[in-house]
Amino acid sequence: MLELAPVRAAVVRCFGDPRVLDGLPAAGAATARVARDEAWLVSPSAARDALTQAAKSYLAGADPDGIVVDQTDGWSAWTITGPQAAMVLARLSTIELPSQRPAFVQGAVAEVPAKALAQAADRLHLIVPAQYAHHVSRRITQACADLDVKVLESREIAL
Amino acid sequence: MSSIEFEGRAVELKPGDSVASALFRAGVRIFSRSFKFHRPRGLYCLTGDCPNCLVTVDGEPAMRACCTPAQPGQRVRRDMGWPSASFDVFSVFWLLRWLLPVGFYYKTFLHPRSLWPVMDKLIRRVAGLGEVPRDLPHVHRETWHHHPDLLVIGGGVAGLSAALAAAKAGQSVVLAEEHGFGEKLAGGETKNRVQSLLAELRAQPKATVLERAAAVGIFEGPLVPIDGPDFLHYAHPARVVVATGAVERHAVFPGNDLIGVWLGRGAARLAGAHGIAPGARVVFAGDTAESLEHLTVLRANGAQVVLAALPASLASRAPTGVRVVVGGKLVAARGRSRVRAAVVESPAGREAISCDALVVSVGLDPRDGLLRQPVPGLAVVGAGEVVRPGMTVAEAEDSGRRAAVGRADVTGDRDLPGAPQAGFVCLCEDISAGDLEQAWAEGYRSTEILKRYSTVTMGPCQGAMCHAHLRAFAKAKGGPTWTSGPTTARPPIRPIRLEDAAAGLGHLIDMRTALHERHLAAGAAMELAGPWSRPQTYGDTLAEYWAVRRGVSIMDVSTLGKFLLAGRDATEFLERLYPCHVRDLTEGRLRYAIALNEGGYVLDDGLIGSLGTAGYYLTFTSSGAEGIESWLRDWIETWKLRVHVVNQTVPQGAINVAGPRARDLLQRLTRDAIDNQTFPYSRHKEITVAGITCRALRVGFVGELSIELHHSRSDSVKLWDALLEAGRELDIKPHGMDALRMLRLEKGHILIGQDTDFDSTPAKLGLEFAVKMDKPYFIGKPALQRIASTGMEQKFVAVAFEGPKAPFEGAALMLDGSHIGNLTSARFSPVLGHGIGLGWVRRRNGQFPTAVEAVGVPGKIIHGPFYDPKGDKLRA
Repeated sequence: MLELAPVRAAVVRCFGDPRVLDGLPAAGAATARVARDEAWLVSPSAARDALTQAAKSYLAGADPDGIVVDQTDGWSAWTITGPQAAMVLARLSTIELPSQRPAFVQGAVAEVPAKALAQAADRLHLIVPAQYAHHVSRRITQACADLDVKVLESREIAL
Repeated sequence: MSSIEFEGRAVELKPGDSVASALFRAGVRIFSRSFKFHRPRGLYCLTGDCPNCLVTVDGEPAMRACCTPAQPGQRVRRDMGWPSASFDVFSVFWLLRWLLPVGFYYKTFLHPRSLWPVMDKLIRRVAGLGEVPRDLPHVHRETWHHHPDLLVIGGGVAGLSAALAAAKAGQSVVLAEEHGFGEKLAGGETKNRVQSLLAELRAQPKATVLERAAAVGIFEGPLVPIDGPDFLHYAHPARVVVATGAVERHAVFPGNDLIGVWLGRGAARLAGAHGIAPGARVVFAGDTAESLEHLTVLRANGAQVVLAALPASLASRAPTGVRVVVGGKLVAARGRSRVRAAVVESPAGREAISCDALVVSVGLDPRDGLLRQPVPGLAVVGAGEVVRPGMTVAEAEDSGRRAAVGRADVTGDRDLPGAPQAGFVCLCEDISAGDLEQAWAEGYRSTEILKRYSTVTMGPCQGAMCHAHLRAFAKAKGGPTWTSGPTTARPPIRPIRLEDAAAGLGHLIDMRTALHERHLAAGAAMELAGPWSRPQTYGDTLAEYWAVRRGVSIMDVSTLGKFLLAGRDATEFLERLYPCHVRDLTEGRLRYAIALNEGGYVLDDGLIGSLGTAGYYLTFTSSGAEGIESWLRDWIETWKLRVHVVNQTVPQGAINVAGPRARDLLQRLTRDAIDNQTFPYSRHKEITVAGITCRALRVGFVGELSIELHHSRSDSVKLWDALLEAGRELDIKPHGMDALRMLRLEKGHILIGQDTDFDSTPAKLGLEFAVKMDKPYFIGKPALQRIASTGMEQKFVAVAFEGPKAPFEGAALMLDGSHIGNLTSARFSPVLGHGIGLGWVRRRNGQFPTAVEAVGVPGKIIHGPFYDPKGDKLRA
């Protein structure tokens, strides 16, 4: 069985000098380097303000050109749980998920841009632009219909 | 008793039946008609390699009957033949074959040209392999991507050995077998070894076994699509081993396509696996060690073998009780449509032996279509009989193990058959040895161009039967070595349904704003505007329109492209990017801007707002955002400037509050000053509306007082509800796209992509005011300087039509009965009471027209907006 839970997650995007971003404090959030000059901080949504402030404070001192943008509203996320959690990517994406955990990958999932945080062998967080949320959740249930997908209530992301 | 329906009659099934075996047991002998001459064709290879048993199963054409498991209730019919495959009128083409030589389609039906439409229909009626089904249910297949260390294609001994060796070495492995494992084998040592290797492989934790899954091609990557019964698998392996084995050699001799001529493996499988003798009197012609196994299987299952022509090396091992002609050579099969006799030549002379089945097992050719596909450099190797046909089981295991670790067998020049003298070389396309001779005589003198001219190897079997003969023919003709080289095989190497090829695709991906559910609840009819799902109307477009013109209305404009630009070089970047000035834009001001490409053509338009030290806020059109983001990033990289670009299109919702009473409405929800003096047109500021922080923009797309409220997407619903609630006393109505199209057209505002073309310059569009040629540089400036010296032959104009009728969008604009341009937008204007439009016109006699006509409606070309030309209303 595959459990699909919509989750509330803070997404804070940090732009700056690549070397400065190397030292970005995670402050309890999951970090993902999505581009040379951009890093993401992902955490439960309640922490979004504190996370944003912490990142701004760091960048203000380290890279005056850097900016921090709280884009929590722009993204939709799910936590996929089950022994075959990785199958969601296999069915809907050409992305190769590394075997080690945690792992971060990005690319097209269900034909839309996506980020995935593979936290454990049986747990995967998927983040897509909010305007595609309806499409991605529908495609997960369609493409993984044989895996007995159970859709759960919305909750906070657990990292 | 289970059965299938074959052309209206029930055919009984037995366990393990394929469609082919069931039909053959029921007496069906003609399975298809050949592509060109409509010759009757019967079962031949039973390994899925030849085209002879293609039938329609449950409405799906070109199914290989020998590879299709029979399922109770299936409806089967033959693909070709009129009025039926059994009696086909078009078989007359065989008698007229002198009229239809190789390449005839390049030379005939050319004159008179008037006949071509008739011939086109006739050819389409006569040729082809079945009919494309029109009434099958729409099926969405899904994909499954694999990223193994090793992909093995082929589940025979060599393939299984390769997969097992890699899996035991700790590598992840996917093995794909086109058929059921071992099901094409009649029995014996090979089949037993396949089963034991398979069991061992299935026990490996990192091995994935795909059964009845055909690899259809090897593409760069390597990427290998594998068509399985449940998914279209995409393998992205580090390495590929092709172990597709060998196909029994198709022998070319006069009469070789007659019904009753069999390949040895096919006849043995029919007898061994299904217990059916291929005929009552069988003549056998063998030349390989394997052929003796076939002979034994045939006799063990009741076939009366009346003669076996064998070389001396095999004759001594022939089963007892069979008349063996030592050194006998098969030279012809006789019969009209079915084989009646086989002609065998031996040192004792030539002899015609009466028979109804002629089983031929004279060699093996590699099933190497997949090996002939990849571009050089891909990590693709062969293993087993696809490299060296005829190897033993032990040799195949060794070959597979070596391939698994990258030590593949070397592919040398193939053991080619003798050059074909007479008979059909290509069963798919009805190409005979004589056709190849003629093509050669006409100057087509290499395998590749013989293939292109004659279409040999280009049919459903993709050369499995004829590729070796094509090479043998070219080789025998002499010439440079390259003339007889292998041809490139093209995917798909195995047939694939269109629905399978499109697996995982074809889903409508609409983008939705946070207010989508609110729109539906309000009864909106939604439409796709670019990629966005947007309200077309809430039911009364005219009422929505008048709400904007006379009262107050709101519209969900969250779809607008919105970007934050920051960094020390942000101003310099925008100065280079835009044709307008940016440096003088003070905080709180907005400026209309167009984006040009290097050719000076308009890409998009929108607004620039300065945020002071925080950077700039840019807006673009709803459809342009995604492309514009790439465009911005591209120029940042090109110029190596310290600029960060953040796409805020989705995180930021936006609602436009428009109409003469827009300020009345907002003042009920905010304490911030929004009067015209403190917040005039073309300004932006942060205000709080209904407790929600918004960036308010004074804009004017609809031509009335308008304030766009940009806010966090999560607040969209709350803000929308608050505006509607507060506006109830003002008779507020939300408006949709239909109303917006009328409103913006009355203002003469262009829609990028609808009104503009790929070569629309600012001057042509009347947007010169947005271009400052005094700037030292901006993207497109050099091109605009050159264009300025060439004169303008076409320009964008506004047309006011007489009367209430508005021509349709796209209508031709006429001047004195001649075409002079086209309308790109047109609507009836309720406030003006007549039709209006925008469009393109060309010069006539050096002058642009001042009046035109569209679908009989006269119109005048005007300057400036149709509505409120001075802009007093939007500045109110």
